[in-house]
Amino acid sequence: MDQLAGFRVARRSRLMRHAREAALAYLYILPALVITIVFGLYPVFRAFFISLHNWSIVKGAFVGSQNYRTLFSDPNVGKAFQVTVFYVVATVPVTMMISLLLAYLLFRPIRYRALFRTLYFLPYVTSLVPAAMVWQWIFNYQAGVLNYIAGGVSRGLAAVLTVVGSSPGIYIWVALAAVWVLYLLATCRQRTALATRAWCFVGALVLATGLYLMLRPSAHANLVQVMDSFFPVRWLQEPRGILLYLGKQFGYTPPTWLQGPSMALLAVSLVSMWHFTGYDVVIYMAGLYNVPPDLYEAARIDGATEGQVFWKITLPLLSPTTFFLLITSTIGAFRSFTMFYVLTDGGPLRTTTSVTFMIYEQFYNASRWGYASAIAIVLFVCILIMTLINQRLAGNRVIYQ
Amino acid sequence: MTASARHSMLLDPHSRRKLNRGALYLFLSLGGVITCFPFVWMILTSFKTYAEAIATPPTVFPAEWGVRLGVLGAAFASHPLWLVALVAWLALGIWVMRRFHETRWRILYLLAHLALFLVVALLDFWGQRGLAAAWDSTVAQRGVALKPFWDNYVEAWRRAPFAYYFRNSIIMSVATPLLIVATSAPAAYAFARMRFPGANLLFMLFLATMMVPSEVVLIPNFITISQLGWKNSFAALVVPYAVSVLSIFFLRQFFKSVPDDLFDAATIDGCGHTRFLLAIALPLAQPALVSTGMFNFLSAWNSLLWPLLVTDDETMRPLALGLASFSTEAGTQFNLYMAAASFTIVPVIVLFLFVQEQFIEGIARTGIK
Repeated sequence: MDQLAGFRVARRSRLMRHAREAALAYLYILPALVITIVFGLYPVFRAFFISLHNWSIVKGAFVGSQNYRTLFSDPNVGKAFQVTVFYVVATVPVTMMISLLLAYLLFRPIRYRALFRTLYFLPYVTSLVPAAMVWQWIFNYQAGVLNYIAGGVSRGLAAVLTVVGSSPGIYIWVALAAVWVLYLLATCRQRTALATRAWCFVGALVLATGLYLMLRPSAHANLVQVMDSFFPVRWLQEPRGILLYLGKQFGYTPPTWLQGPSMALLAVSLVSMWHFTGYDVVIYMAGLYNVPPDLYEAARIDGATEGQVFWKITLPLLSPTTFFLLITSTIGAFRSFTMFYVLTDGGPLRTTTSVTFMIYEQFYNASRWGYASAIAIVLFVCILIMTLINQRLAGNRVIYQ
Repeated sequence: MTASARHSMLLDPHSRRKLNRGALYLFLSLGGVITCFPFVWMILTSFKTYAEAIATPPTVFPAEWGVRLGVLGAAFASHPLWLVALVAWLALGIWVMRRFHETRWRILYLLAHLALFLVVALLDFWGQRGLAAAWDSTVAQRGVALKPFWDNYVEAWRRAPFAYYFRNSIIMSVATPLLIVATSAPAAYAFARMRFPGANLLFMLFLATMMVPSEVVLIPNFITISQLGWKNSFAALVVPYAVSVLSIFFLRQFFKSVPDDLFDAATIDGCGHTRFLLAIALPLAQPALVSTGMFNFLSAWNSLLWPLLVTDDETMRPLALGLASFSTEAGTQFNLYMAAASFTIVPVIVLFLFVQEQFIEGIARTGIK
C-alpha cells in the first residue's frame, strides 16, 4: 500500500514537473507567438477578406471575386507581372553566374583575397536608397558619367572601325582572322578541347563580321554611324524595349512580342546586379569551402584538367548553394520595391512598374485597398507555385555530397 | 599525354602561369573598380559646385581641390618644416605597412586618417572656427574666391531634417534586432530543449509565416496599426518586425547543438530553464546572435516600404525614406544629392569595415545550411 502511494506521489510530481515545464515553454513562446499571429498570420486571412470587398480606406460592399476578375483583365496588372518576370530573368541568373566566376577566382590562393571580397561586398551593405540615388546620377541623360564614358568608347571604336572597315583595312582584317582560326585548328592538340572551341568561336565571329562588312559596305557605314550616335541613351527615362531600340538604329522594327524589356528596366537590373553580386559571392565562397579538398586531389592525380574538375566536381557539389541562392534571390527579386521606387518611380510609361510597386500604387495613391489586396494575394500564390516548381525541378538535381 | 605537354609551346609553364595570374588580378581589379566606381564618383561629385557637376565633359576632380592643393604646395615651398612633416608621415606609413602584416591593423591605420579627417571636419562644422576655416581664409588671402570646403554637406543637411532621420533610423534599427533576440531566443530555446504538447504544430505555424511575402500582410497590418493608433510612432516601425522566424530557426539549431551533458550538469546544480538560457545558452550562442543581429540591423536600416506607409510626419521618418523624399525635393541639384548620399553611406561603410570579418563570416554561415 505504502509503496503504491509513494509511486502515485512520484508520478504526480513528475506530471507536475512536466506541466510546469510545458507552462514555462508556452510562456517562452508567447511573445513571439502573439506578434507572429497578429502581424504575420492573421493578416493573411484579413488580406483575403479585404480582397473580397470594395474597400477604399473604409470597408465597402462585399463584391466576391469582382476584384480578381478585374485584375485578370487589367492590362496594367499583366504588364506588371511581365516587368517582374523580365526583371527576375535578367538579374537572378546573370548575378549568380558572375558571382560564381568571381568566387571561383577568389577561391584560389591569391593575395589580397580578403580585400577583394570586402570590395565586392561593399554594395550589399550600402543602403539601397542612397546607392540608387548615386546610380540615378550616373545614368543621367545629359550630365551622367556613364553616357560620357560609354559614348567615348563607342565613338573611339567607330573611329577604329572606319579605318579597319574600309577598303584596305577590311582585307587585312579578314586575312588575319582566317589565319588565326587556321592556326587554332592546326594547334588544337596542344590545347584543351574547351579552350579551342571557345577561341575558334571568337575567331569565327570576327571572321564572319569581317566577311559581312566586306561584302556589304553599306552595312559598315551604317554600323559606324550607329556606334557614333548610339550614346547618349536615356537610360532611366527610356520606355522603348531594348531590342526595339537596337533594331531601330539599324532600320528594323521588331514585332511587339520581341521588343524586350525597356531600357529603363535594363538599367534597374544593372543596379540590382551591382548590389547583390557581393552577397552571392560570399555565399558561393562558403559553398566552395565545403567541397572536400581530397576530391580535388584525387581528380588531379587522375589527370583531370581544371575545366573537368570545375564541371564534374565543383559545380555539382555546389548545387545545394546554387539551389539556395536561386530560391532566395528569385523570391527577393519578385518582391523588390525600393529599387523601382527610387530609380524610376514606376515610369517611364509603366515599364518599370513591378507587381510590388503596383500594390503600393493601388494602395497608397489610388486608395483601392481591396484591389491592392487581391494583387498581393495573387503575387503570394505565384511565389508559392514558383517555389514548389523550383523544388520539383531543381530539388531533384541537387547533389548532396 | 602529360600535363606539361598541354601547355602552349610558346610559353614555358612557369611564365604561362605568371601570365594567367596577371590576367586573374587584372580581372579581379576590374571587378573591384566597377564595384567601387559609384562610391568614388559620389564623393567626387559631392564636393563640386552645381555648375561643375553638370558640366560636359565632366571633370574628375572638383576644381577647388586643385586650387587648395596649389595653396598647399605654396605653403610647402615657404615652410621647410611642412616638408619634414610630409616625409615623416610617409615614413610612418611605410613602417606601419611593413611592420603589421595583418589586414586588421592596416585597415585601422587607414581609418586613423579618416578619424583625423573627421575631427577636422567637425571642427569646421562647429562655429566655422576650425582648421578648415583658417584654411579658407588662407586661400582667400591668396585672392581666390572659394566656397567653404563642406558647403554642399552643410547645405544638404539644412535642406531636410536629417538629424531626425538619423535618430529614427538608429533607434529603429537598434531596437528591432534587440527585440528580435528578446522574442526569438526564448522561443527557439523552448523548441530546442523543452517538451510540451503541440510543439511541432506551433513550430510549423512559425515556419508557415515565413512563406508569406510581406506585401500580402502590408495592408491589413496598416489597418491594425491605424486602429491601435500607432501611426507615426516607433512602435509602428518596430513591433511588426519584432519577430524573425529565421532567427528562431537558426537559434533553435544552435541550441540543439549545445551538448545535453552541459544541461544535465546545470540541472543537478539546481539551475532551471530560465537561468540556463540566460547564463549558459545565450552566451554560447553569441556568434549566431551577432550575425543574425547584424543582418536584422541592416534590413531595418534599409526598410523603405513599411515606414513609407506608417509615417507621414517628417520627424518620424527613417533615413532611407527621408533621403528618398529629399531626392525628389532637391530636384536636379546633384551635388547636394551626392553630399546627402555620402553622409548616409559613409558611416555605414566605416562601421562595416570594423566588423566586416565577423559580418561576412556570419552571412556565409547563416545564409546557408
